[in-house]
Amino acid sequence: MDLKKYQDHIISNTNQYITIDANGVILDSCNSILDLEKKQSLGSLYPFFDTFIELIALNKEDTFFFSCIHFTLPQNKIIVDVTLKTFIDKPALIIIQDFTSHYFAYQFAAQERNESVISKEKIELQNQFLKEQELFKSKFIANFSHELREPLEGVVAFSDFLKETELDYQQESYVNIIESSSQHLKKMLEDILDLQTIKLNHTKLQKDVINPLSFITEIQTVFKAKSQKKGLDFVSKISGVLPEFILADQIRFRQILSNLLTNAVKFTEQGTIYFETSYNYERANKYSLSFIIRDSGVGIPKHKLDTVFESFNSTDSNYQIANTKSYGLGLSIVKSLVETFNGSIQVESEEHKWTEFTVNMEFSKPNKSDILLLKTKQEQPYNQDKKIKILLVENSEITQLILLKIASKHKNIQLDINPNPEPDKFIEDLELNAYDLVLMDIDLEQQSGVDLIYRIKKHRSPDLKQTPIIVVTGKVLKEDLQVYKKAKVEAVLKKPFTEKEFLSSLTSVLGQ
Amino acid sequence: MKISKKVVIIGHFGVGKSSLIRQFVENTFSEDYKVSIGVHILKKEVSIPENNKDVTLVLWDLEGNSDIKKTRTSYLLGSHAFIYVFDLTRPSTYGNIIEELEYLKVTKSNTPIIVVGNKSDLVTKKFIKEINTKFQNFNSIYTSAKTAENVNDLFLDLAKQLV
Ligand SMILES: Nc1nc2c(ncn2[C@@H]2O[C@H](COP(=O)(O)OP(=O)(O)OP(=O)(O)O)[C@@H](O)[C@H]2O)c(=O)[nH]1
Ligand SMILES: [Mg+2]
Repeated sequence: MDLKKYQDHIISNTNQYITIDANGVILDSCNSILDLEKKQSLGSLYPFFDTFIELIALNKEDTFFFSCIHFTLPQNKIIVDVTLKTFIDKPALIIIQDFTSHYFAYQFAAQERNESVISKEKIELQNQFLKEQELFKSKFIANFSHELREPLEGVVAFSDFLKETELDYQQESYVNIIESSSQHLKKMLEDILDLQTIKLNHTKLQKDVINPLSFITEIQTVFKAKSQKKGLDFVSKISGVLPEFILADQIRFRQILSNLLTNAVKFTEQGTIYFETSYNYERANKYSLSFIIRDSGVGIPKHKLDTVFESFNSTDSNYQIANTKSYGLGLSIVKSLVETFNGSIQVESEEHKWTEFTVNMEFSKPNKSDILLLKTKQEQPYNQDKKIKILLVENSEITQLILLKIASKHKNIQLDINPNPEPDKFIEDLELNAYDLVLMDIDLEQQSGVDLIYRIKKHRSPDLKQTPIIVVTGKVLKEDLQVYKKAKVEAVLKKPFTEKEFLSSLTSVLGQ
Repeated sequence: MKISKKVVIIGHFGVGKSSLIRQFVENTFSEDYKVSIGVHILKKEVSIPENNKDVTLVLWDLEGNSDIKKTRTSYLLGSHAFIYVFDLTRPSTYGNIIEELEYLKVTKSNTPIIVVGNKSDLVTKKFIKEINTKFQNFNSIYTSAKTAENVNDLFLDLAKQLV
């Protein structure tokens, strides 16, 4: 086989050589691709070549390369690469190479790539638009329901006044309807506001330290009583060992479980309410807990299961009217709340038989200083019998008054006050009086409460050294708490405090 | 003597460069998107009645590119003007436009640049007004290859600028 012949044949068919003069007039051409005649102006046939005149006019020896140029020929379209070689005082050479099939493949790939990029962008834009719309909707609803509260307040108050006037039987029954309807409306508005504030992330989640066991036990107790009042059985179970402490917004956490349990009781006429708490795992300083709430009540129709967590989903209003009781916004609130705990909620149900909600939530693990603060917050029953001698080191008259008032109610508490201790005398005083407890303010007039704490805790007398100290202060930032912890105080009581909080802090430090 | 001017049309892909040229040269529009690769060269003669002149615009319809520095430099050789097209409905096509225009200004100094916001049929007048504040320092116009809004004006104004 004559390779050279093949090569020549292919090259001559896919390569064209043209020479042109300084005005772009064709001097010669082998015409294997473009059909050209000598003495024609190349640029007027194919405007692509127009710019060549300027390049040739530079009168330099140079090479210019142009790739992927489209030409429309009488019969077909081609895609070529063009090389221009210019010389000094000599005609320029143009080489055209036909790469149509090669570029077709490239076009195909580019088409796919560009289309997918553009459609991805469109989806992103669409999503962003939907998000903005949702946000606008939420804001609008939140503002709107807020606006409605004031006139509603008027309705509620004046139907109340109306009830106090002379009314006949029928009038009174009408007023009662006005009253209960407006209460209902008010509750709905509150729910809407609640939902929207959660959605708008306005709810700042508190980080309370919670002992999950006592928290759950308390909820169990409340709902056991509610179930029994309605003649229902209440079965509760805790699987696995719950962590000692978790961090969570106490109010929100309670809201989730109470909401689901309240619904369970509300929708069940006979049978059992089942409440299970399980510990799943600890991972990356987070605890995972799950909760199951099951009732043997009316159930949820299959076609409603998908939308039961959506707000304003009452497309099936017949169901709601027929059942007068409805989940209302409760479940959307629960779902939004669960989401703030990085959690998820699922529902399963069989109509007229049972409904089961499963909630999974994540809780952060508290650090030590958080736990210290809790010790004083935990509500523990307070033992009234034990005599307690307390020294209050505090210069705020208000705090002095509050504590004196509390002490006067509890005969077993003896409260001495030292508003402005002089350090040496202060220690002497402590040794003499053998206090059971010191309540220490941090901002004193002449020295820092922390210094005084160190004097006590570092004292050589073991008795004095062990005197429990509760810091009473408004300074409870993380850094502050670390300082108190380092000073080895027993607890911190945060100002302002209630009597109950004060008493339970006593109990937690002094024991029962 | 016949005047012929090379105008290079650049911009991200899918912004409507080919559609603008097709609307201007053939008065047609297609909803279909056929990706351009390399370069298509078309020409159209424009008469400028004011000074009784005819100009042939040689329009270089370039393959779309999100980075102007990646454009084959030989395409830009000997260009008399640039039309930088972006898509009013896709922020990604004008996100880096100021840098791109500055780059053009520096590498091709003294070559006029027109900024074109295309697909004006899909956005509101208010939106265009807002967008336009970005291009205070540039010659800008808002077009629709679909409805032909401002398409002729774009090329006519450019032709006038070039003679
Ligand atoms: N609604 C509307 N669509 C347009 C307009 N201009 C272009 N399009 C559409 O946008 C898509 C892309 O248009 P092209 O003209 O191919 O875009 P291009 O800038 O040449 O794209 P590349 O060649 O890939 O760089 C096509 O589907 C057109 O139908 C316009 O003004 N309005
Ligand atoms: Mg194109």
